[in-house]
Amino acid sequence: MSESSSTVLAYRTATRTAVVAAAFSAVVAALLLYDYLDRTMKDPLQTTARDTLKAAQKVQPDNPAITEALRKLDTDSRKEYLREKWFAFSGAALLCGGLIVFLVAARWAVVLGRKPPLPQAAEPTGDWEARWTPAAIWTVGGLFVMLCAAGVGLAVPAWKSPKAAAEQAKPADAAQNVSMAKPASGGGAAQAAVPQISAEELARAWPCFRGRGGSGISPYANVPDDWDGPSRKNIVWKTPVPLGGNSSPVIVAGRVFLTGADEKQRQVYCFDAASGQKLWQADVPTTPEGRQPLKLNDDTGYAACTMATDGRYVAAIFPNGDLAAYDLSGKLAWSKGFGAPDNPYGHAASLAIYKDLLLVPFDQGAAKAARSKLRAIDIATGRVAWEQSRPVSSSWTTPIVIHAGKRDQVVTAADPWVIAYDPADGKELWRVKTDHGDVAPSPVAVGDVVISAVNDSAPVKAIRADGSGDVTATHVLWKGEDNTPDICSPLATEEFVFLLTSEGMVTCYDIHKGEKFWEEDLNDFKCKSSPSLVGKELYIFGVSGKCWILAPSHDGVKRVRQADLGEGCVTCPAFQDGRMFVRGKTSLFCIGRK
Amino acid sequence: MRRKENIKSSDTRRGLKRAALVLVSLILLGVRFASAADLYPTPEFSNHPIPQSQTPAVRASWHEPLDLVFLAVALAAASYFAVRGRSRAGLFTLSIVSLAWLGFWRKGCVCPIGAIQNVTQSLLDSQYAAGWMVLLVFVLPLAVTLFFGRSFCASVCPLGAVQELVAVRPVQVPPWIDHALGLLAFVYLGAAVLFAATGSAWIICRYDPFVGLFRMTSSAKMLALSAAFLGVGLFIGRPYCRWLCPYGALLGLLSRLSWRHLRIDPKGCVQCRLCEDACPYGAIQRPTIALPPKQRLAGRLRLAGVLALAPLLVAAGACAGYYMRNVFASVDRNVQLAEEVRADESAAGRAKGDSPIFAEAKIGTVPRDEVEAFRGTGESVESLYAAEARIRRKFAIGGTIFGGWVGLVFGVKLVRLSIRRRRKDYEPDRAACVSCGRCFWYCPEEHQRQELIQIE
Repeated sequence: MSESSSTVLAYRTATRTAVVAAAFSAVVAALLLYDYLDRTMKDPLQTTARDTLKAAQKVQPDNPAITEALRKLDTDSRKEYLREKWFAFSGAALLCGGLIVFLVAARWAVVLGRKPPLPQAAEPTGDWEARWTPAAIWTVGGLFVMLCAAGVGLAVPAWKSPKAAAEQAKPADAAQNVSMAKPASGGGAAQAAVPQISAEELARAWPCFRGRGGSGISPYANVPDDWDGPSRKNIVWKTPVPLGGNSSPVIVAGRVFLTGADEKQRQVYCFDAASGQKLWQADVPTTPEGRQPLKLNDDTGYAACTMATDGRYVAAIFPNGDLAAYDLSGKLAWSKGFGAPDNPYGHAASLAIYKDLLLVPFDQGAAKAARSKLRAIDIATGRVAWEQSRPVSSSWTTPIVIHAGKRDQVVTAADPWVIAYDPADGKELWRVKTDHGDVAPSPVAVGDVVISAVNDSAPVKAIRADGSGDVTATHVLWKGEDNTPDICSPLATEEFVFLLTSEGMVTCYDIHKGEKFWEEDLNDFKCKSSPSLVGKELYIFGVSGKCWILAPSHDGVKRVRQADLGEGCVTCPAFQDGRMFVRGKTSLFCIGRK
Repeated sequence: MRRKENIKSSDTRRGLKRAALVLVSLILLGVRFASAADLYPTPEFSNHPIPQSQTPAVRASWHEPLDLVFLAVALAAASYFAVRGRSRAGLFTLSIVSLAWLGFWRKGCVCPIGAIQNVTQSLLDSQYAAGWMVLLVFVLPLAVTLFFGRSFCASVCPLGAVQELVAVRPVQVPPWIDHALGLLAFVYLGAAVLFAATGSAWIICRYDPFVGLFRMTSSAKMLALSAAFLGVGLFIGRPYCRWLCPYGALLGLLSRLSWRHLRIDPKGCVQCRLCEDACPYGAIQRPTIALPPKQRLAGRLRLAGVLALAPLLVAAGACAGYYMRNVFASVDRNVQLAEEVRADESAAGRAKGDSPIFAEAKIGTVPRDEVEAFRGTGESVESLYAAEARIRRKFAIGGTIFGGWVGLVFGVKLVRLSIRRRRKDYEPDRAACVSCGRCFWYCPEEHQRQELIQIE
């Protein structure tokens, strides 16, 4: 073999060796990366079995079986850890080997394949430096602009959050701003003593979204069904609300509570139910967790969640995850932040109340990520009494607290489960599978029957709420396919289930058998507000502010009249004796006979 | 011109020699990787005695002078190979030895690059003093550069060496990109000085992309960064040296003034143009030709424009730097701690204690352990806030200066690009040339010097 042919052979050998080594290294690197990701996603010290055993050991500290089981678990996890480490070690060694072979072979091939320098083709006319200098000047200038823009872009978020300590030249003052969190008082009535709430008064309260049990049913039939905002007919008072929001009013002890917010601030308002006078308003303190800029759907807004009250405190939550409670005189009891949930349209689930526990739904992300939670928080102190992880994705529904199956329950609806929990300790009671998709309508209940209409592409289901575990196969009483809603929550009575689509189609089902009695098209009447029932009349607000009063029966529905608020409305009314309180686009209205 | 037949075989032998050296150094790398260890929590419910933590022994006192001797000898050898001996093989071999010594054995510390921070902090912080060893490590390569160009980059710096090893198929980057990206090194230099001057962070060490390889212990992100640099380095020669190394920026400035510098040709340029594309680092400058009057006028106008623009860039940079002062300050550990304590106090003031469940949920946003550790020190919150305020004031001044520096660097670059210098021959760009000696092989004069060819 001649020297040149041996060189050619060596070159080929080196090239092929380099290619094989590179492919081998790439495969090993991919396996190592997969292994790394797999290992980092699990924590051997955070397993259900371990948690269960540790909890059991707390109860029975002297039980040797539990201790032994824990030891075995510990040993097993260590063995697994060592096995994984060996895998990573072996992989790293193989990768190093592959890379060494690749580098050696590649460099060898480069040296062997190097061609002797040959004269270049004729140089293009003109000066070499002059050819690229203008481009270099523009690139340098562009890079400077990019660096400045990147720097300013980094700096802007800190400046945007007005209470961020980072931007304060006087840190001690900044600390005071955050920790003070004193509500701003407005009006002399704010300083008045907080009335003691009697049991009767508490019973009259409209404590949460759509009232007690989230039913949307007024306890009073003497609310007028005829009003007109522009002419102020039956408008007892109308008060502007400082900041906008889609939250609905809650009422207790003659006080109406609302939230309002914009990109920069979040506020709670208290109005006198009799006069409409604003008694106080408070800036909700921004928590460290709630400082991140929000991405929201305009329809959701910055104050979509309705407050809740136990008669002593009122609580409000906002899409940035900040939660705060005030006493009825406007004094901040506590606040805390959960951080903005991962929610494509913005958080809109309202708070619910069970005795002195504030129920805080916090569904977010995909169901597989298991980041959704339902928390129960002591409304007086802010302590988390319990929290329950939920296997559901983002939702916009409000839990309802009901008494069904001879027990108290909090019922939640989301994708893909309707789940009921014991509100005292958060233990799951039952669950029913629903169809996939965004879920905005909240469930309602009558007696032992829960009605859940999750979205417009899934059937409405009537569920018997006395089961245990997954009762999808056994406790679904009936399903209704027609005109299921995408935003508005259903309304259920002892006889009927009313569904309202956002296009204004009203459908009535038999609550016992699921038979559809009738449907009524309100003719291009856009709705986002859920229906309410006053006496025997349905009140259906459209986004225009007009409200259809309907008289339903088994045989059909009669359009009684159309009232007009005079401004847009997407919220749900709250009811008191002879009064209806409803939030318009800019004002809070009290409707009643003067 | 007649080429001797033994070029190919000598190439093969040279390639094998280099390959063997690469093999040895990478085996060392593999051994380091294999010895890496992780931590695992101590066992529960066990009678196993927990071993006491062992404090590693202090580095032997003879290491430091030995390192300095090695550095001096390596710099001398590199200068000889680059300027006098004209030996690419010598430079390559030396770079492998330096990689093994300063990189894998000494684990990349102390290095002149990081010493920028020691020197800066010792100049501005009365509480800190860099040792004489660190000062010498910092100064020695700079001094050598004034005489012989960037010999340190050529084959002494372990960061350069590892990139030189993996540069298998380097391609040329267009000069207009190369010149722009090269400014990032000056930005990095300014940032490193800013953070070191305020005592906040040593970012050169924190974000050194190769020290994790040398020590075989680093975060996954930094190892990924190392892999990225090495992967890119297969096709783009020495990306870190050219566009990011802050010490390289200093050496480049001094190298312009060097007494003797590596030459492409051993005697004189014959303008054969064979070396035109030889340098993968874009450090070979071509001869200039006289421009027509119209182009000369345009060049003068451009120069006048950038001279007027330069002060504006300095002002704009200073404004941007001042505007970013809080972003810079957020890197400081005391500022971070003050933020955490403030957040904790705020939360504690609103809710008198959270349940354990909620406390766990907040981990990641408020590192409570650090807050508790701070409270354990007995230091008052007010003193922490006062320290935070001092640091923020430092960053207000330092950020402005840093921004002005960035503007100045860009302004000067624009001016330099607008000034034409006449060249008759192919010459190395003294600032950009890392004296690697790759261009030697392309020069026929060099081949004649080595008697590989004979010019008749």
